[in-house]
Amino acid sequence: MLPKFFAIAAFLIAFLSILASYTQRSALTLDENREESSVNYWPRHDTHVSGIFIGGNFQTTPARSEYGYGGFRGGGPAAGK
Amino acid sequence: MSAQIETTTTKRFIDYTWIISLISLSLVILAGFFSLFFYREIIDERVTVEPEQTVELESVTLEPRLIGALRIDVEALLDTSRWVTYEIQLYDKQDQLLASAINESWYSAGTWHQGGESGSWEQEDVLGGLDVKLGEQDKKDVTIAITVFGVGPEQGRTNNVNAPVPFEVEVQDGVIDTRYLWLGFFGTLTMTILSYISVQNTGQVKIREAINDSDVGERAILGGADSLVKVIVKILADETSPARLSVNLSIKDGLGNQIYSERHPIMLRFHKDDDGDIEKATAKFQELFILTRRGSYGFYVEVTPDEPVDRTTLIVKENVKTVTTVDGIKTITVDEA
Repeated sequence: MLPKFFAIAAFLIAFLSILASYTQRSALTLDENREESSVNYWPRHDTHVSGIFIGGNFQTTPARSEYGYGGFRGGGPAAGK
Repeated sequence: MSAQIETTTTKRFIDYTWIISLISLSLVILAGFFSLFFYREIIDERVTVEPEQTVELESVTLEPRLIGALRIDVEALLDTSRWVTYEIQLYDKQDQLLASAINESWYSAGTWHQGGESGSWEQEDVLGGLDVKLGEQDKKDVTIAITVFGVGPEQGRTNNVNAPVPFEVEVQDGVIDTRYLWLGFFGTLTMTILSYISVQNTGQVKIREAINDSDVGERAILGGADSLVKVIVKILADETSPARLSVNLSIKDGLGNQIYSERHPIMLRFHKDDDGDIEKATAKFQELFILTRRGSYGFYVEVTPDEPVDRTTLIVKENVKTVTTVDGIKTITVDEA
């Protein structure tokens, strides 16, 4: 019973992960007429989408150019000292 | 009445379901290998962007495709102790923004002094990346651009450093998201290990008998030509134990006649506590049998020398499955008088 369960689980994991990687499930989908088109987006290297799709058009987040000012202060061991 | 004992090697009792796990794992590894052949490099360019400026790269044609996506990888080539906030942007032919993604990169380095020793350290997060694909529409020409919002020194107190930032931009088409394959790799690897272990633990326990002594025995109805019987003996001994003990396993048939008896030397594993003293010694021994005629059989274990033995456990299972071809199976056929 258990070996069967693990075998089915392994097969499903393999199938779904190959499907997701080859279809690029988490890439940003351009102009889809759905607001949730970036729901599956999975940022790479901490790169975040700075807007949303409204009615098929991309609208940027209003304060995005302020992103670096005040909010982010660099990193590393010396930061915050 | 007599009994014939034969030693057999067979693949009859392999549980092939765990092979499915192994095949799944192999498929994920193969998928990772083939992902190397699907992409095509379009742009590999170095651009320098002034703060609050946008630099456009050449335009690329996006096509709806089933496999892969367009991958834009950006590496900020920062000076020491700098951070940059920038955006990867995509414009259409009419210069309308199609999508954008923001990234913060930083690079810190310095020296340290401690107790007369010194050295240098370096930390960085200089990579950014965006994967895009088309929905269900026709191909589209898109222009990739990079806009720098702010550049600053490491501490970030004075934000406006008016220095241009060079970026290494790499654009590839048909790229596969290998992060899912890594998840799949570790997932299927775990399932393969679990199914391998679970196959080895198959079977119905017919006897589980433990005694705080060196000999143990019990009787059960089991066997049959299609049932693999596994006898497991676990021994717990104290620190006075020699490196090896001897296990005598014997089987008696329904009438009490001994049909099998064999002495096996087994090595002990010594467990040490935190101080390095020997706490205990353990050993495990197992043997596989096919008892061709189903019936009542008695299993008896005797461990010698018996002085150091604290506990002896006898487990007998039937309908056991194996992961590979096994050898050394004792097939015992009991003739009726």
